[in-house]
Amino acid sequence: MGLLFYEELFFMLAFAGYIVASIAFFVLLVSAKDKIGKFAVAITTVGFALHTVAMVFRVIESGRLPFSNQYEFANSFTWGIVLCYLFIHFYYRFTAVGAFVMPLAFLMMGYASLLPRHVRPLMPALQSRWLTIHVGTAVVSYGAFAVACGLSVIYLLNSRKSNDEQKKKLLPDQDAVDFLSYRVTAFGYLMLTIVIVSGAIWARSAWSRYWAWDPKETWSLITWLIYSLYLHLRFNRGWKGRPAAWFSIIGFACVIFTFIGVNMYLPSIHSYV
Amino acid sequence: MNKLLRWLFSLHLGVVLFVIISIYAVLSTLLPQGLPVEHYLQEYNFGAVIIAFGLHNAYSSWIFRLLMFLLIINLTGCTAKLIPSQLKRYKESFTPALKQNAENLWKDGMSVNQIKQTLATKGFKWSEKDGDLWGVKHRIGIFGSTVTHIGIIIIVLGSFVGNYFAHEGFFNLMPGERATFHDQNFSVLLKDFYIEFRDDNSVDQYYSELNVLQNGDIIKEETIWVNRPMSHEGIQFYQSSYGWASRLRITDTEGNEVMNRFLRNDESVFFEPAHLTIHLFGYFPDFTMGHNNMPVTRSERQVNPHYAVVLYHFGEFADSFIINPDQSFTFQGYEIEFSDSVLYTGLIYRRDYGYYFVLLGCILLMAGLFMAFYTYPKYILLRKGELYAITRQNAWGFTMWLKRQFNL
Ligand code: HEM
Repeated sequence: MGLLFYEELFFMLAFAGYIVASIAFFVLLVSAKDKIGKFAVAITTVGFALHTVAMVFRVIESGRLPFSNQYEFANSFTWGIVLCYLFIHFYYRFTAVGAFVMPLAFLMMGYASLLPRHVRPLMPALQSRWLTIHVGTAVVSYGAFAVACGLSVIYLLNSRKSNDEQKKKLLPDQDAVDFLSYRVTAFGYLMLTIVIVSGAIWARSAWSRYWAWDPKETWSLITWLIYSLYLHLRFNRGWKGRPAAWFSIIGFACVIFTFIGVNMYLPSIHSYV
Repeated sequence: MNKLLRWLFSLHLGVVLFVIISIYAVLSTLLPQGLPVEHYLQEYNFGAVIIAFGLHNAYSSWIFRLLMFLLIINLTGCTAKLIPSQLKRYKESFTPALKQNAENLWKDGMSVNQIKQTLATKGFKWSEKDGDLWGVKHRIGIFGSTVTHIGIIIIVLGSFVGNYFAHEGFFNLMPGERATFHDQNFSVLLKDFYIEFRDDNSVDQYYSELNVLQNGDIIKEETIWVNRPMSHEGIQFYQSSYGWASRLRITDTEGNEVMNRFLRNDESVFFEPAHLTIHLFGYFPDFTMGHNNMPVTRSERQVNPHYAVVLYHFGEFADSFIINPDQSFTFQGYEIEFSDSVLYTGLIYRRDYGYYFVLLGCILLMAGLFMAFYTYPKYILLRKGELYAITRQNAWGFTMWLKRQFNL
């Protein structure tokens, strides 16, 4: 049996892990039991490890990074989301964020599982080292925006919740959520800038022009403008808290549309499906 | 007047522009671009509005230029306005004000000297002011937003000016042919063009072997492929497309050759003696019949070559044939055959010095963002019994970092 069989096996195991983790995180929100939080994080970590193994199998089989069709993007994107979440968890000890991030990861992986997954050789336009930088930064950028979106959902839910003491202890302090969401967005924004710049450099060497207002390009710019707006309003007008959280959610909706919607609804030379 | 100027340079206008440009861009992706005006008037209820706002040609419309112009004016003004205060804050003697609700991180058992030393190893420089100790790091980051803004200004100006002066074109070459650039005093000769296939006959890559000739001498030899253009005298040559050209031969009843030339797919030629138009519908290197009886090719490999040819006599459809290179057909005694199919290459050339400005702007943009988000100025105020982390950009993160340094 080929490596791709094992890729699929580990993919499915990771997928199952993410589902279980998502459920556990929700139980955590309802029950506020520390143990469940530990369990959810452990399952997420194991799922992430399995997912990484699945990706490694694919990399070995195809001889390149998994960055070249919609299945591979969606798969890497999921991986980026979980990576960013785990980083936030282990660096800032923000466990409950998982309740709103892991479902995003699980949905994205579900989307990936519906797509054709055979390994195809790279078409000529994709044979470039810029592919690695362009998509590699997109994976972390989108992962960061997903986490910022999860944080913003927490913020919004929390800001209207009762003052249940135990739950308060579990959910991080509102100011911290707000700030962290901003910092994660700033990181995602820097990465998105690199995505767009590297894409322009690559487009020039492949298609002769660095920017052609193709729908995918335009939508990535729209996403970028929305987050630019977010940063300015926040920095100069003190838009924190609820408005900032809504902004972050709208920004992430734009990210998703750029990633999936453009391929489905708008004609584009970027549609490598 | 003053008021208008102030508004022109305000963040308020900046925000408005951001919103308008975003909406404009969204609309542009929902409409097909660059079609004839009539199309929009017929197909859309708001056709006239679309045309009036230039949304059918969104990025060369006057509206878009106006928006960009305003953005540049606004951004330049905004940035210029900020510079004096940034220069002031950049001075070594500058210290920020302490916020009223700032969190005092001092804990019993700490020692001023130890804090100073620990943070000095982390890059903080200490100085004394009015009896207080100030630690500071990354003062340069105060210019992050300015560097970012200048980057944007250069990108927008560079792309507009660049596009205005850019020079672009397209040409096809068969192996052995050359294209001359009269204003440049050189020509480009195609030595060879070939496709590399994979095992499943799909295309791996297209290669054009080019020679640059000047006064009859070869001054450059390069093979280009998709993602690897050739650059010569500021002009980039790109592998862009390809196609097949096939030799058409016509012989009369005595066996004399009366026509011998190459035809590209979908190209026609008029043969006067028989009032015959010969249309090469296509060359199919790996021929098979597709559904609804249309010929198709399974790959670009010459496995099973066939030609589909349509004849028109006095402008009326006369006949059609599907033949291979060994076959021929006759029309009014003329024998017509196709053979010797070769690939030709399609190359784009483009010269755009604006690109280098855009690239410079992009580098400034990324550097500026990094400065604004990560190397922003960080201050520490230390007095006996008091320890504060002060910064404008990221108070929470910096405070957290400081707590970590002392396990608080
Ligand atoms: C697309 C374009 C723009 C980008 C990428 C950009 C980027 C930035 C960044 C990264 C910052 C630092 C914010 C932070 O640290 O959180 C900033 C600050 C700022 N920007 Fe922009 N900006 C853009 C356009 C504009 C425009 C059009 C204005 C309009 C007037 C503007 C006005 C400002 C102001 C006033 C600040 C605060 C600077 C300070 O006090 O240090 N920006 N910008």
